Amino acid sequence: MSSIDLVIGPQHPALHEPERFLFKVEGETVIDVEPRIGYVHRGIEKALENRTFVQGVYLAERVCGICNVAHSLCYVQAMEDICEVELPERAKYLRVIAHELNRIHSHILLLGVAGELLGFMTLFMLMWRDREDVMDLIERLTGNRVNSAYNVVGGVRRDIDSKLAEDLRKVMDRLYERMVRYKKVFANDPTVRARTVGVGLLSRAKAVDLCAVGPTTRGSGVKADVRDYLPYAAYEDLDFKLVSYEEGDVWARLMVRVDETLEAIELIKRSLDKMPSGPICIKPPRVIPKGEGFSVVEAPRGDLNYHVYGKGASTPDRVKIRTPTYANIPAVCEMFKGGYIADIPATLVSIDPCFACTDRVAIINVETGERRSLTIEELTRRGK
Amino acid sequence: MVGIPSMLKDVLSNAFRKPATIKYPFERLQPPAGFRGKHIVYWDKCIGCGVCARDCPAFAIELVEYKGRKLPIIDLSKCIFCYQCADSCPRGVIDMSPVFELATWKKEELLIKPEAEK
Repeated sequence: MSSIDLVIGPQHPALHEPERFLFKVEGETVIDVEPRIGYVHRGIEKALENRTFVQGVYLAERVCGICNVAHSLCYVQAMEDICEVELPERAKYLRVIAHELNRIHSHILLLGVAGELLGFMTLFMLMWRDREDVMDLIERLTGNRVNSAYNVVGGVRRDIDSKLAEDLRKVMDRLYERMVRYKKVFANDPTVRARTVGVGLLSRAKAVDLCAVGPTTRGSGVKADVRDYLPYAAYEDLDFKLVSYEEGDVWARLMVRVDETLEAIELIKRSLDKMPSGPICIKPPRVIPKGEGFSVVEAPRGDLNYHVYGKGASTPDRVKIRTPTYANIPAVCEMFKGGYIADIPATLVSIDPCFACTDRVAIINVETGERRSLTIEELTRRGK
Repeated sequence: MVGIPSMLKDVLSNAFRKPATIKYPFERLQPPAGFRGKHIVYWDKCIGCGVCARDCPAFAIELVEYKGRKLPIIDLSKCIFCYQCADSCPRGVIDMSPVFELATWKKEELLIKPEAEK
């Protein structure tokens, strides 16, 4: 049978990172994938060269809206590395709290969207309702629902008072119960299992080989988490437990995120208990000295790296960013191979970035040049 | 794959539950204290040092001459509501308000200017 080219992408309003995938399909089976990325090149790395780190934090956190705390945290850590700033202890714990709240809302968002794409609307609605509690807490802690502007070089901008700490504990307890309930749903529900178990396989060897990061690699049994192997902020004192699953399929990757959400709730409660009192911010020097600074943090989607070069002025010489989705593209291409067209949305959603582009798939018959579009309903209906 | 959908209980209980959403234009949620909304500027406290304009990451603040003093103009259409200006200000001139409904018909209405206040 001759193969047919199937194009997904590049643009979709719900995506933060548009990508185009060109699938070569034989009947229902995907045999090869050709990714094309770089549609949203915004020149942020170059723009960061013209900004002092006071201004740069707010630009860095706009690289990605969902994991904005991870981006600003990584940027300020790289700057603190190069400027040799010693953080106050309390700021480290506050950073962990903001970072983990961010992770919880990102993971719940993804798990809800996964539910939606698997045809499980109830799960989507319920998870997003519970996510709203977390968003409210982020708003109370940082002053904004999404772009938190919380981390600055030398510490954090706002402190947690006793009332907010109490509410954080209360909401986290409630959310923990809900997440345990959702974990049972993801683990046992026939609807979820039918669409995810054995779909989008990525073996451990391939995951290592293709340098996959974050929940994608941990779903394949690789025990790699920055919080574990290179603890930053206050993670060293927080007794962090790494989550990993051996199966390497979509189900395992979703379960990693469910378990990480539970772990994040525990981390927030633990850091509230252990948080020392004291100052939350120190005044850093305004000049970035000559040299290099490097930082890596575990964003909700995987390792995020910032590499900063200083030139002895208030602006940096160069800022290099590597985002987790970029690192996961070769791995997701491997997952598609051998799968069905109907499993493309589930596989895409399992690495987090490209979940919603599936409603504008065009199938082009190479021989006749005939073109037709697939709807989301056709895609989410599983092949026989 | 046969099995009783495990969410059936949640679905039934939610059918009789109060909706989680609110009817927005008729009811409004009050943003929490510390919400970064529209700016309040205490013009008489300003010393015109220009630190806010220097640190603004969106280049939304401009200093202008007004009645012999240098005062900032904040362009809300450029502003990203990070409130670095308030953090940098040595006199606490800029404060936050919970006003979040900023849509207007005219772009000029989005400028926070000294004339508009008095």
